[in-house]
Amino acid sequence: MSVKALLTASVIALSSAMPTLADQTNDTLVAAFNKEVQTLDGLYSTSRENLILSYLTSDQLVEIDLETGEYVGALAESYTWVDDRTIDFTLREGLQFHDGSPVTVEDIVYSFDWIADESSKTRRGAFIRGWFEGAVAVDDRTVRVTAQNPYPLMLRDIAVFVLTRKAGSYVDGNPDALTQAFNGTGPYRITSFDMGAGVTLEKFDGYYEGGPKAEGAIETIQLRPIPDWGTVTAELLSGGVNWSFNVPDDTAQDLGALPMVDHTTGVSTRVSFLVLDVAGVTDPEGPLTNKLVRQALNHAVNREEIVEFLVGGSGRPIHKTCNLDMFGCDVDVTEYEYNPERARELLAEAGYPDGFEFEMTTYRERPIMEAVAADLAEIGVTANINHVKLSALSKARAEGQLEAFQNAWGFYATPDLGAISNYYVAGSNRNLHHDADVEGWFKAALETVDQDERAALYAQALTRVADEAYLLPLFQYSQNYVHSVDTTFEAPADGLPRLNEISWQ
Amino acid sequence: MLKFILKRLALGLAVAFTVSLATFLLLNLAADPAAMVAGEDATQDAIEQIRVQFGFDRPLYVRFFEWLGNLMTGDFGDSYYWKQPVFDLLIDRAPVTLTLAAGALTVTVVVGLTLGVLAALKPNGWLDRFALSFGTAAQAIPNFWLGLILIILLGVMFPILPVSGDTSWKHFVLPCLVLGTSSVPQVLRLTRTGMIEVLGSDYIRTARAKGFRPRQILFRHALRNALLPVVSVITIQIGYKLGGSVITETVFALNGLGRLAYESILGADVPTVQMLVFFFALIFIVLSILGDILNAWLDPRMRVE
Repeated sequence: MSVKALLTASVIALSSAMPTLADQTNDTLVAAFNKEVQTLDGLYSTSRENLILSYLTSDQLVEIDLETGEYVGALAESYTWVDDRTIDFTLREGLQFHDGSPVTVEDIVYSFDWIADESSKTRRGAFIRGWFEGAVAVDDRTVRVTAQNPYPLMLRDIAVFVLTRKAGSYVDGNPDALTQAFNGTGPYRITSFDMGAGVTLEKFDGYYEGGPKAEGAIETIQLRPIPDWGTVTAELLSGGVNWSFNVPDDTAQDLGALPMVDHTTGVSTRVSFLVLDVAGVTDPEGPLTNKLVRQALNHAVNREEIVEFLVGGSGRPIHKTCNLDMFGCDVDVTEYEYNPERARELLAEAGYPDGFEFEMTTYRERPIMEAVAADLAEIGVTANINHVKLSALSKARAEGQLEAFQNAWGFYATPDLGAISNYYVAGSNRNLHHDADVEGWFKAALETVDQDERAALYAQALTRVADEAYLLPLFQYSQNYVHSVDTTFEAPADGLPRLNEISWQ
Repeated sequence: MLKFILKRLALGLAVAFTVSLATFLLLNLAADPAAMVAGEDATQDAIEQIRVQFGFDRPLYVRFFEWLGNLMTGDFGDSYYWKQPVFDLLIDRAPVTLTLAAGALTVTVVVGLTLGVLAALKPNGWLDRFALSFGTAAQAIPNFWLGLILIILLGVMFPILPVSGDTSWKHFVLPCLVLGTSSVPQVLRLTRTGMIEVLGSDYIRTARAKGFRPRQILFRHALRNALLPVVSVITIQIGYKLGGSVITETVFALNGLGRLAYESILGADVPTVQMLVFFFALIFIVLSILGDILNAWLDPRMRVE
């Protein structure tokens, strides 16, 4: 009997003897993270754990409305486009930092300047330096932000990357000033942080009303790092943990079958696909430079079965390298249905009736990539899997050594195709098609704020990419959450769980 | 003797240097540390910025000797991942690992010695067979599996002990049992073998003939002699307990050096991983040198070798 089966059987048998989940009585939600939070400052980490924490503790000028896809005021009561590259933000009144001090326009300007300053070494700076020209205080409540050129993702970047910091927070320019003690503006304030033991947060009484974020229904939230899923499972069953995310599909399903745990699944913005050496960087005469070969590979992979049996949850097959709900992705493109016969015909037509061999470098979900290789083997193509660490893949990619590589792109939870541009624009080592038209369309779409024009450009680009089978799109990821039955939780549309929206049943 | 000690120290230093160099090369050559630090969705610009920011663009030998030079002056460097001096990280996490190691060693010694002695009293008796079966099982069961089973039994089905964490002594009971059990077989078998040999020796027979009480014979005469090889094994086990706690700390979410190593490896935190490997290697080197010196002190022939 497996450990999991033993666990399930024993717990179901003894569930009536289990103690009542205790956390509701002291109004404390315990969330288990698979990885540790290594800094409280979200400007210096892009881990999913830090994004969840930052959502609770930091606010930006604007937030995305997940239902409409529009950007709505957060710290800013409203915003106005002055021209194609300038936005005025008007701050709400009565905003406070967690230490009780008011949020001022100087703080907003400081935040922009700090993040954009290369010497501040934030993990967010690289995203805004490309367009940011400056931020100035217009009056007591208005901040003007200007881009160097028209840039359509300006609001996105401000909503995702420009977290508000109190002016002078980084004393003497020290980037680590907020690593251990943090002063933010979010609906929860940090009361303790012990690296390894986790973070404790309490509802912030001074949080502004009427904003897009929920104020929080639970008084205290504890974020506990528990690296082993078996231990998380045991804690959920014994009442030591109320919520966890990123749970492996089989574990989540087993847990969801238990009376004291709910399993919720939602989509992730992350998509998985193979990048093929279309341009012949590794071999100018290589088989992947042949369009018919690439189309054959696309026909050979059974995406539906991979999603059904290996991805699970809310995962779905894709035929474009984008999240189906995002701006720019709503285009009808050539879809290569699973058809091994057609794939063999295409291979023969391309001059490879007996197939060929190539190296497929991967770094995630080995079982899934084995399934892809098995599908390709069915049509006579041998994909030798070279499963490595991401850093090794990045190094080989930068050196132009990869015939085909796996990628899983998360779009920074941004509902806009522009967030994946580096697979399509010129000069990026992730772009292995080198199609000047596609490169030009993506570049142009990043230089105009006219959404209709952008949509048209993306449609042209995605159509060409699919027709030429430059890539081998696979699936959109699923995100599994488990939580105790005494809590309510809804899977977010963008894959970023908001713990302040959890409440007791 | 002094010459012998100096030779062993020099050898230890050479081993420490080699371990450091090998670790450094493996960490830096196998992958792009800048890409690892930048994360999965990082742009090429972000990766390049990190490469310059953390000095990954400089030649390997420059970075290695800089690290070595800093180490000599007590500067362990700063962690990329944890945003703290590595020294502070080690100091913060060491108490948990030391507590775990001490508890596990206690389990190993108490259970191993007790079962070993009991088994030797009547070889091939039911107690002996039980002890040997227990030893075989303890050796065969992986730590993570035993950990999960104990969690299910004592944390979930009969919730008398906490499942994970390290905020009270209760949190250490299960991990100490798991980590300690894995070393019981070595101590048990050595004790059993030593005791059987000693109990069958002439001087024990003489002691019995002189009318000493069995307890006196067992503890005052037999056990003291049988323990000599066991002590050497226990010394090495201290190193294993300190360095081998990665899985146990991970399963029980203990905030110690083992888990620090696990998370740092996942986060490609070169300075922390480098220092931890060096630290664990140093423990084994020091214990080996102490063992050599002890043996040389006990047996002068070894000094000549």
